[in-house]
Amino acid sequence: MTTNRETFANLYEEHRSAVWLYCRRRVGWDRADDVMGEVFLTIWRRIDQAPPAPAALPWIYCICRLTVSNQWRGTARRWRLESKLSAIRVSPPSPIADQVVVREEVRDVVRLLGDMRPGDAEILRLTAWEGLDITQIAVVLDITPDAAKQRLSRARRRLAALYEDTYEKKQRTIRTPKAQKGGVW
Amino acid sequence: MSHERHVMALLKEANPAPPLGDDAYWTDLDAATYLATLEQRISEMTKLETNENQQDTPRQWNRPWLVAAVFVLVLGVGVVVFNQVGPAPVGGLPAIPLDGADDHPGAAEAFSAVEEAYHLHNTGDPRWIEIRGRGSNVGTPDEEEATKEAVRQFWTALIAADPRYNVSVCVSNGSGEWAIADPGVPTPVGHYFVCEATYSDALLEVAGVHPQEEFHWVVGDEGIVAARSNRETEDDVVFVNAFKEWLTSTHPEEASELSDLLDAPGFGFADPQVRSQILGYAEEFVAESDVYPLEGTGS
Repeated sequence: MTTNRETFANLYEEHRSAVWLYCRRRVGWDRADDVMGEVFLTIWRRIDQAPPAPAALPWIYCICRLTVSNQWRGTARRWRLESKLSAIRVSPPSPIADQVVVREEVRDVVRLLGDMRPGDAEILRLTAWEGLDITQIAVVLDITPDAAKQRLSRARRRLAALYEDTYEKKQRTIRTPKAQKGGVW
Repeated sequence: MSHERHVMALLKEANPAPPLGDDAYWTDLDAATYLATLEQRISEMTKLETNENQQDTPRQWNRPWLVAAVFVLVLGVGVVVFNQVGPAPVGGLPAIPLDGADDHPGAAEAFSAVEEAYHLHNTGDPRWIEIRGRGSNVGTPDEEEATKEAVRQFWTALIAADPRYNVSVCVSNGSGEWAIADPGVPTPVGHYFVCEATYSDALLEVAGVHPQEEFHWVVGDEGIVAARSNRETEDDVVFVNAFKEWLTSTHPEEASELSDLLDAPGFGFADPQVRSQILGYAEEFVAESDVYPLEGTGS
């Protein structure tokens, strides 16, 4: 019979890279280790509930998602309240803004992702970055596979529409010459 | 390649940490070592929690009117919340420490009314509305003397009375006078606290709606000189209204009755069958919705 320690060791050895990569993608290099520590702390505390492979990875991603979400929620709330108190404007942290992206259109997509509803953005990241399928996404988001399918489809449409809108605006900007100073409206 | 596929391909390219190989991004701590560090951490956290609990042992309360005032505030908050959202059963009223409360004129009546109101409310009985009014005549916030301890006591009592509250964060400007930008709050003497709480129940959970409420406190040498609560969003009301509209269009034969229940305190959740039916429809509504569930920061 497998002990909790053995179960944890197996999960850790098998999935630590996936966990670290998830944290790295969501919170950046500097905080990935801390968040990963929180994730494995939660895994250890809930080790009795850990499902066997192959369901273990989506279960772990679910913990990752909640941990990262709590981190940002706490930060955002504290920032908002403190800014009210001090009346000093401080830019809220952006998990995406500091990530290095080279091509302009790729940068556009990342920026648009940051503008989307968090739920939509996360389901797109789980697909594109973690490479999860619908069944795994459903476990991570704690919804049914049908709902996951609908939400993914909806999120893809929304991102594509946003991208198209941005692209068209850029095209219009390129075609329209800048108004001259003092010119006639 | 379709437009959507093209954008998804760009998104894949944007992956800030592509999986290049085993452990490419991770220092090589083995499982036993890592688990040892986690256990050490848990042990330290347990010690901290134990110490905090020891420090938090209730002391004899020598300001009975303050306790009464705290409960009046609890009552006020309850009124705000209950008028917005119906409850889920919470399994009875938790015990609330009432040290010294009986010394205050009218306090016993107020506490009794609060307990009775909460009890009825939690069982879905609409009579709680009449009863909670009886407890609202004990003092006003302006009369009260309080300290940081009072703020802490307030949260303890609020959460004990209604576990659907969760205090997210409190911040303070520290001591000293300062100008408050918000004209709605009287001039403070000393500390100014802003605390944020979220509020949820079974129905709102389905929709991912987590209403937030801010509590502002000005605490100084004279105690609390101002206190108010401010509901940040109406997301819960918007959700319930949208849900009712959906019921009308998809389940017209039941919509009227269910809409009435959704307007009533408790949503009729005291009846497990009604609860199950409403939550089932809510899940159906959310699955079809482009808006719900709301997710993310909750702000």
